[in-house]
Amino acid sequence: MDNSINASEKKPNIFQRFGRGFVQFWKDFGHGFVNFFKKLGSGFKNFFVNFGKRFADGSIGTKLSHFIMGAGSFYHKQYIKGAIFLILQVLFILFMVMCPTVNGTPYGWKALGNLALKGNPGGYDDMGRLIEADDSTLFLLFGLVTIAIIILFIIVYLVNIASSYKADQDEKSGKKPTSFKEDWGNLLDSRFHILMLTPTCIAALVFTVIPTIFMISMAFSTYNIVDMNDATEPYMKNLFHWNGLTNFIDLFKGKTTLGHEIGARFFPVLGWTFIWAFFATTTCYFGGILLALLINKKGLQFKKVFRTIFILTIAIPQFISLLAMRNLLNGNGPVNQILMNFGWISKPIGFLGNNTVGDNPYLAKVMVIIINMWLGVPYTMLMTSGILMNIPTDLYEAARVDGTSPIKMLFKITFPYVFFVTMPYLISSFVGNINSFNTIFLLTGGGPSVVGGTYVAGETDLLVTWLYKLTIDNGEYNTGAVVGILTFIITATITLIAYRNSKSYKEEDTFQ
Amino acid sequence: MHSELTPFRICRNAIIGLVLSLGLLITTLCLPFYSYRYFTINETMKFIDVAKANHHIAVPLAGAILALVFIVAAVILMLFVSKNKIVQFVAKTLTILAAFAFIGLFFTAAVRLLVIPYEFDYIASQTLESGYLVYLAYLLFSGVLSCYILAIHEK
Amino acid sequence: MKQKKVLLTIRSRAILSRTLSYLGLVTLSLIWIIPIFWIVLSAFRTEVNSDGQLIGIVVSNYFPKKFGVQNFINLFQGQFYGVKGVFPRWILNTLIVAVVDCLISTFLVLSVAYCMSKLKFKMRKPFMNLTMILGLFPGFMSMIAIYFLLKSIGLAGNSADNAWLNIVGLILAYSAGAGMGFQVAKGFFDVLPSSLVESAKLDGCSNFKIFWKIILPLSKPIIIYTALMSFTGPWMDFIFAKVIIGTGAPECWTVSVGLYSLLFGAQSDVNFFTQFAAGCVCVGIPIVGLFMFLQKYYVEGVTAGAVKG
Repeated sequence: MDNSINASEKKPNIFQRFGRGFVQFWKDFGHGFVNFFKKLGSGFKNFFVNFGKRFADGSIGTKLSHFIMGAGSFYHKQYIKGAIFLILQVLFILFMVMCPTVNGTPYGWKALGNLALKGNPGGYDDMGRLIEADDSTLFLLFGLVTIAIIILFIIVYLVNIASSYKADQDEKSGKKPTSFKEDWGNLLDSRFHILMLTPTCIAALVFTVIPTIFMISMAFSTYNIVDMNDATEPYMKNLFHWNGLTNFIDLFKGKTTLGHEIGARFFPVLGWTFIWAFFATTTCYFGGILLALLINKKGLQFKKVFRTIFILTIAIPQFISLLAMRNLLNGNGPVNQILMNFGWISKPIGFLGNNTVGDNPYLAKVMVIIINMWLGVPYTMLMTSGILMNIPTDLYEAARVDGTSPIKMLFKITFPYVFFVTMPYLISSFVGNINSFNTIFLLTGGGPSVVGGTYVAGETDLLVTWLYKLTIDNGEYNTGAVVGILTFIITATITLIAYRNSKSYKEEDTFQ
Repeated sequence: MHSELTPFRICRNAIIGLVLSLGLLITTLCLPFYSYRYFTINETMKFIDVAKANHHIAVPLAGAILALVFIVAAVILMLFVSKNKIVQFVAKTLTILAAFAFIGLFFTAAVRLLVIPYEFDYIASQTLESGYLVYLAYLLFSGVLSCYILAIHEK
Repeated sequence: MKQKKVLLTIRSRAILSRTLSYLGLVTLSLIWIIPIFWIVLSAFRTEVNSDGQLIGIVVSNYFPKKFGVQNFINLFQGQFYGVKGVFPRWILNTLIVAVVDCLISTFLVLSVAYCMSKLKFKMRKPFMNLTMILGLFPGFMSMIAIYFLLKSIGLAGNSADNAWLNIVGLILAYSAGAGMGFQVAKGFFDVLPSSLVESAKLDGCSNFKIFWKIILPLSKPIIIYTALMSFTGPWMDFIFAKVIIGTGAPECWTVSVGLYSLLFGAQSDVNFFTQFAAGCVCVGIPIVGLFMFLQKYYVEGVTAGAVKG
C-alpha cells in the first residue's frame, strides 16, 4: 500500500523534477563556470609559486634541469633517466628548428606561423612555371600537431624537473634516489595507472582531440570545396582562410552569402531530430518492456527460444537488415507489389521517400520510426528481461493477498520499478538516438528532397546525417563543422542536465 | 484439488479442435481453389491441381498438412504418455513448430504471395475461389489451436 | 460441485491468457524474422530472366521458384569494380582488421576500465568527465581529420599498390578510439569486491600482479564481451571504413564497404541484389553464430552497462 502511494506520487513529479533540474543546471553551470576560472587562476598561481620554489630549493642539478633536461638526473647518478630526458630535449629542439616537411608543408615553428592560414596563392613565376598554392588543410593540421607536440614536451619538461626535485628530497631525507630499475618497477606498482593509461591517452590525443579541434576550427574558416572549386585559378583550389563567426551568424540569416543552406535548413532539421529521438526512444522502450513482460509471463514455455529469436535480429549486422528493409519497401519491392495485387493502389507508394520527388515526407518519417522499432525493441527487451526477473516477488505476493487485479499490479509495481532502474538508460538512449546515423542513412538516405530548392538536407535528415552529407559527399566542411559543433552543444547540454538529475536521483534511496 | 484432471479431461477441447481442423483441411482440398480465364479457356482448379502445376506451391501444401500431423501426434502423446518428461518435451516442441508453420503460412497466404500459379504473358483474369478462403480459415484456426495446446500444459 | 466449477473457471482464464500470449509471441517472432528470411531466401534464388541472366530482385513470389547456389559462385568468382575475385579479399581484409582490432581494443579497454575502477589517483574524476565529453562529439567530425592525418603519414588514401597500408590505417583508427569506451567494463569491475584488491595488497602484491593474476581470471565475462564487440565491429561498420579506405582501391575494401557499393556505389546494379544477399549470408552467419554462442556474456554486458548507467 505504501508503495502504491509513493509510486503514484512520483509520476507527476518527474516533469516538475525535470523543470527544476533544468533551472538548477543553469544556475550550477554559472557557478561552475566561475569556480572553474577561480580554480584555474589559483592553480596557475600555485603552479608558478611551486616552480619558483623548486628552483630556489633545488640543488644545482635541479636548477640546471630547467635549462638542460636530464642534468638533475645526471647529478643524482640516474644516468639512464638523464640520458632519456636529454635525448628528448635535443629531438624536440631539432624538430622545432629544422621544420621537417611532409607533402610540401612544414612542421616546426613555421607551422605555427602557418596557422594564420595566409597561404601563398601561388601563381606563375617569371618563367611561366606554375607555383602551386599552399595547402591550407595541411597548414591547419600540422599547426595543431606542432602545438600538441609542444604541449607534450612541456609535460616531459615538468616531469624532468619534478623527478630531479624528488631525487633532491630523497637525498635530503637520507634515502637513495631511485635507480632506473626501481623506477621501472614503480610503474608496475604504485604508478601502474600511468602505465595503463598512457597508450590510451596518446591515442586519444592523436585520434580524438586533435581531429576534434581541427574540425572545430574549420567552423571558423571558409573551407568549402564547393566554393573553392570556383576559385579564380585552378591551382588556388586548396586555399582557405579564417572568417571568424560569419558561418555562425549565417545560421540565422537564411541562406549564407555564398548560397549555402545552413540557415534555411538548420531549424527544421533540428526540430525533426528532436521529434525523431523522442519517438524512437519511447516506442522502443515501451515496446521492449511489453515484449519482455509477454515473454516472462508466468507459465509460458520456450522462453529461451523466443528470446533467442529476438536476439537473432540484434545479432544481424545493422546494415544488412536495414538495406533489406529498404529493398522490401522500395518502389518495386514486394510490399508495393502486394498492395498492387490487392488492387489497393495503382502505382507504387514511396514508403521511404526515395522514389520520386513527390513522396509524402510524413509517410517516410512514420515508416522510419516504425522500422526503428523493429531494430530497437529487442535491445530493450533483453535489458528489461533481466530487470523483471529481479523484482522481489514478495511485493507481488502482498498485492495479490490484498486482491489487486493483475493489470493494477502491472501499473503500480512493475512499471515504476523498471522505470526507475532504467532511467539512465532512457536518457542515454535518447541522446544516442539524436546521433543515430545508420537507421536514417541506410533507410531513406535523408528522405524525400525538400520541395522548393536544392538543399543537401532532405526531409528525414538528422543533424548527423546532414553533417555526413555536407562533409563527405559535398565537401562543405565549414558548414558541416558548424552543424557538428551545434550538435555537440545540444547533446552535451542534455546529457549534463540528465546526469546531474539522475545522480541526485540515485543518491536518494527512497524507492523501497 | 477436489477432482482429478485426467489427461483426457485436459485434452478434451483440444481433440474437438483437431477434428474441426481436419474437417477444414479436407474441405479445402475438395473445394475449387482457383480459377482463371485465359482468352476463351475457363478453368477451375483444386489445390492439389495447382500444386501439380507449380511445384513450388507444393511446399506450403505439404507444410500445412505436415503441421496438422504434428499437432495430432502431440495430442496423442499428451494423452497416452503423459508421465514421461522427455515425451512431453517432444510433444511441446512439435506443437510450437506447428504453431509457427500455421501462422507463417497464414500470413503468406493472406497476402496471396504464394498462390499465383501462373504468370501469363497476356492479361488473364485470375480469381481465387471459396476453397482459398477455407484454406485461410483452416490455417488460422489450426494456429490458434496449436497455441491452445501449448497453453494447456500444466507447467 | 460449485468449487470445482470455480476452479475450472480460474484455470480456463489462465489458459485463455496463455493461448493469447503464445499467439502474440509467435506472430511477433514471425514479423521480426520475415525480413531476415527474405534475405536468406534471396541468396538462394536462381531465377533467370529472359536474357538468361540472373534476375536481381524478384518480387512476385516470396518463395523462390528455383533454388541454387549460383549466386554464391558469382559472388566469389565475379568481377566487381574491375577486380576479379575481389570478394574473398574483402573478407580477408575485414578478418585481419577484426582480429587485430579485437586484440588491441580489448587490452586497452580493460586496462583503462581497471584503472578507473580500482586504482585511486589524482586525475580520476576529471579524466572520466573529459572522456564523457569527448565522446559526445559526433564521430564524423574526427573522421575527416583522421583521414588527413593518416594520409599525410601515408596510411590512407593509397592506391592499389600500397593498398594494405590503408588497412593499417584503418586498424589504427578503430583501436585508438577504443580506449574511451570503457564504461561497461568499468561497471563490471566496480562490482568486483575491493576487498580482493586490498587483501592482495596487504600480502605485498604489486598492482600489476593483482591485475594480471587476480582480476583478469575473474573477469572472463567482460573480457569475452569486450572481445566480441570489438571483433564484430569492423564487419558491421561501413561509414568509417568508407572514409578512411576511400573508394579508390577495391582490393582494400572491407566487406561492408564492398557490399554497400554493390548496391549503392558508383557501379551499382539492381541485379546484384541476389549476390548482395549471398554476401550478407556469408557475413551474417558467422557473426550471428558468434552472438548466439556467446549469448550469455552479451546479455550480461548489456544489462551491466544499462543498469550502472
